Amino acid sequence: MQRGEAIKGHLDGLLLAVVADGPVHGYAVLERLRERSDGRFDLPEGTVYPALHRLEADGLLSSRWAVVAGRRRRQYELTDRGRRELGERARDWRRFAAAVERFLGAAPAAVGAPAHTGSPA
Amino acid sequence: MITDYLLELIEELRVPPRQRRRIVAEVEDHLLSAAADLHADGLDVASAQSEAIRRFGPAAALAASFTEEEAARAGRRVARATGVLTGGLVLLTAGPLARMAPFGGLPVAALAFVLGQVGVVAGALTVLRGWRLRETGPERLVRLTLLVRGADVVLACLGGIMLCELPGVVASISHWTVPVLIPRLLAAGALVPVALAVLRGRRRAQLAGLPAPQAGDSASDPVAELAGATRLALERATRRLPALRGPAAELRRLLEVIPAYARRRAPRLTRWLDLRRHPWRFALTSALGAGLLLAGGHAFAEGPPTAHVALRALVASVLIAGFEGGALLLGFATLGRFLGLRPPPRALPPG
Repeated sequence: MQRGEAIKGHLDGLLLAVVADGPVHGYAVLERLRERSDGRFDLPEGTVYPALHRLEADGLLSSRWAVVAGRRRRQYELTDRGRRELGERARDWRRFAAAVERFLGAAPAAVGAPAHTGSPA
Repeated sequence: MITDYLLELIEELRVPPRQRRRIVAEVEDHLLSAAADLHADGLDVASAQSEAIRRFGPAAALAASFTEEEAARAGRRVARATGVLTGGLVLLTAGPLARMAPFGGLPVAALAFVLGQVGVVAGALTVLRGWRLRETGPERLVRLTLLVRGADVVLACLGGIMLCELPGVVASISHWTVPVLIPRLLAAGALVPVALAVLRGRRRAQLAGLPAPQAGDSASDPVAELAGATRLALERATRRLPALRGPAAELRRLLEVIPAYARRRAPRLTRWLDLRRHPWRFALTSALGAGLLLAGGHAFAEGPPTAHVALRALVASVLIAGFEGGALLLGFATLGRFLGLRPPPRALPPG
């Protein structure tokens, strides 16, 4: 699976986590995502805005215009419902990651091709 | 360069003007900030703007994404309002209001009753699809198409019932008493703004350019829709009330176990009733079942089973079962595909 596709499934949760750090405008959301993932979460930047608007429509984020660094910007903030949702998503993720870890964590980092045991048909 | 991008975005966006202004302002701020940072990193102004736009993604794709979100929001509003209208349909055709003023002769009453049932089925499907619009994915717009069609059918049924009742209402208006008049006026007064809300939301949902369902869409598979909606409802319920996690997991398990058990114990019956593979058999069996249930209810309501009553109930039951079954089959034939109850025809292979 492409990394961008893999992130899409978790985008809402990632955005809630980024906004939980404090009020933030769209461009800074992307910067925080890039910084906190060491550049691994590199998706088309425009995809973040429809997701932010959807989270706001669902009552998980609120937004308002504010002047930041001399520029008028839309700032997003977590609502109480968004905070609860983030907590639930974090718990779900920890359970899921722990279950996957039990399988993949024990696997060797590099597995060679299986030894050829049979004769060709 | 950024201005051209914004102009293209404005042209492609199908959202209300206020939201369009907000989106354009946010995108402009983002692109200007990104270009300024890239310029500070050493790129010339034109290259910095070009790179900022490349990273942001095509304007048409962004506009389509916003338009889809707006259409889905409108669709959810349509589904909620349609749910209210469906409740109104039940009240008008089978609820206390219908019993308070049974206007018109038998054919008109029967037609109104059938319209009420068609409307309730269409309304239930619309509410179900509205619930599933929360999920993003490639079939979201197909689901929206079917949702809008369902709302149209509910509106048409409501209009049809009003027309059925109109002659009787006009003829008997002089006999109306206050207890009959007031609930009817209140119901009509409440339903009109809801119907207008459906029409408004419907217009907005259509701005996304709704695609026709195709063979193989899971959105036009009512069984999959019901299963998906149940899963979503359980997920949301357990998120809000963690205490429900245990019972919800048990219910999910039962929903998987019961069909598997039925398939194992009664393979022929389950194959017979497979809506996906044999929609007509399913409709026929459901029609007969619904008819027999109604007939049974009628016989029960007739009172103690004396010979005379039993004969009358039997005749009435056969008539009701035949009428109900016929009406259900007719509804399935005419509206099944339109409402996504029957899968669309498979595309013919090329050549």
